[in-house]
Amino acid sequence: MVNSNLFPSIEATGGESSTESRRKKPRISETEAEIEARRINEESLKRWKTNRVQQIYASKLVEALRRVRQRSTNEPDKVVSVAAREIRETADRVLAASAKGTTRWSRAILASRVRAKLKKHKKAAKKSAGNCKSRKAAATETNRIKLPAVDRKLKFLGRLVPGCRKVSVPNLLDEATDYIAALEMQVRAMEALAELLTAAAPRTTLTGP
Amino acid sequence: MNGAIEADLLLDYNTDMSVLERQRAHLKYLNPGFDSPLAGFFSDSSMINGGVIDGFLGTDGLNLPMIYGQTTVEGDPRLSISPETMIGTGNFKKRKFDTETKDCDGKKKKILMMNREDEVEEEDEKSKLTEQNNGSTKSIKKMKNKAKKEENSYSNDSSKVTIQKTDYIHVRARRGQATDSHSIAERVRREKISERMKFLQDLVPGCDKITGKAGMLDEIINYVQSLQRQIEFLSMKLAVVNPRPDFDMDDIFAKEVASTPMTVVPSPEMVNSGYSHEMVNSGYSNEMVSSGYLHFNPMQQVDTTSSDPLSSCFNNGQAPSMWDSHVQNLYGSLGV
Repeated sequence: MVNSNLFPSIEATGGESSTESRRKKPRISETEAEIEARRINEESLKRWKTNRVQQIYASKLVEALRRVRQRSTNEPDKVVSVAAREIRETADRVLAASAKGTTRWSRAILASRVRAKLKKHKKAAKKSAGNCKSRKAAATETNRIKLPAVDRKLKFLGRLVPGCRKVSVPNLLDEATDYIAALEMQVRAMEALAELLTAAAPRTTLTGP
Repeated sequence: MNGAIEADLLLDYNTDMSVLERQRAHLKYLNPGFDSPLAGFFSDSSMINGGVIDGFLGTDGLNLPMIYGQTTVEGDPRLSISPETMIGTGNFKKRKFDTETKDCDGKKKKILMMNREDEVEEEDEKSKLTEQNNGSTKSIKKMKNKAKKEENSYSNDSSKVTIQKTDYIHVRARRGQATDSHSIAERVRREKISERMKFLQDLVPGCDKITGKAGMLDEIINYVQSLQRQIEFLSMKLAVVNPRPDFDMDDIFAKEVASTPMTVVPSPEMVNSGYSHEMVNSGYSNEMVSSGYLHFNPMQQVDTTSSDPLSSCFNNGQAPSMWDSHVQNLYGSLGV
């Protein structure tokens, strides 16, 4: 239900970003986004720090991890790395869910899973991979001259933040701000959880015979 | 003479001048004596753009709004204009923009407007007039918005005006800075970016000493990467901590709350309080380990029946509340 609601918004924002390159259209969306962005910036430093948010995130995380573990009990032969990836993806999804869809990266995280499922079903994975590669090769061949350092770093930052590759610079910085705050909260929550579990875990197995 | 000049004008400028003609005609109609100042300004075709302003502004009887080239903004009487007098002035804006700024470079403060074409386009759709008339309504609405803006923002000296719902960003050029529309747009863009970089600077530790976008971006990227790596590591840790499928987290928390008779446990309340205290202190002393032990034994016994009764315990609401208080204590202790 949440994902279906999120899809139209993602398409809308994708459309917005593509029209930003045109001169005439973007100004309205820019300024409305400007207000939004300023609000996000001022809030993001605080909103990921409140106790309430952390409580919500922690409880949701616990629930989600429990579900993952129950699901993984059906397939007991899982490599640690695979399990770790699952847990990480779950944690990211919970984080994105607690962002309540106001930020681009949260929407991208929530949508990526659905998109991956769709791709699997349609077996279009090979096709898209091929297209991406050819496009990338063409791009790098034409742009032999390196972009200035700042631009390169901005691009890299766009790749780090999920769903922000083709986002304008100020929006990218906004998203990065919120993303960093959210990641910090996630790290704290997972640390606390891990400590709780390792402390409460059977000590006899850890401390010896 | 007027005809020749009109032809001249038509050659140089296309649509603007045709509107200007109409405007002149209108003004002539409204104010028969009006022709002279305009004729004066028309006679010098080289001064067309600069002259437009001066010519207009020089005429007091016109009730035209003072838009460009003046430091003072007239109050209401100037702004209450009949629409016809405004025809064509709006369309001049874009062209006038650059030339007028060149004229008024010496003056201290300017009010420059960045026009929003799409907002105007919306209003165009509303009015089903011809294109020329659309231009006029454009200009009228722009004028009125701008007039309102000026009244609202006149007190602001050298700061950016807040955004109206009509999506105009009105910027004043500060003293001693270039008043090109391009450089102003550049400055606005740079200020936006630097504002956000400041937020990031607060967020990322160790960024205070670094000046310059490249260095700060480096730090930011490093920080994001390190956070992501930490999350990877922690998720691996969480995955390792629960190798056994029947190891259920519910156990841990439910054991604290459920008052199941445990031979090893002295009393449930003591264990609970001990546990929570440990959480508060965020230290792991022997008490903690012993409570771990205590939990372990019953867990071994209730292996098979782990999930159902405990999940029901969870659903009772006791466990979650305990968990919440735990988390609160945890986060309090972690210095958040």
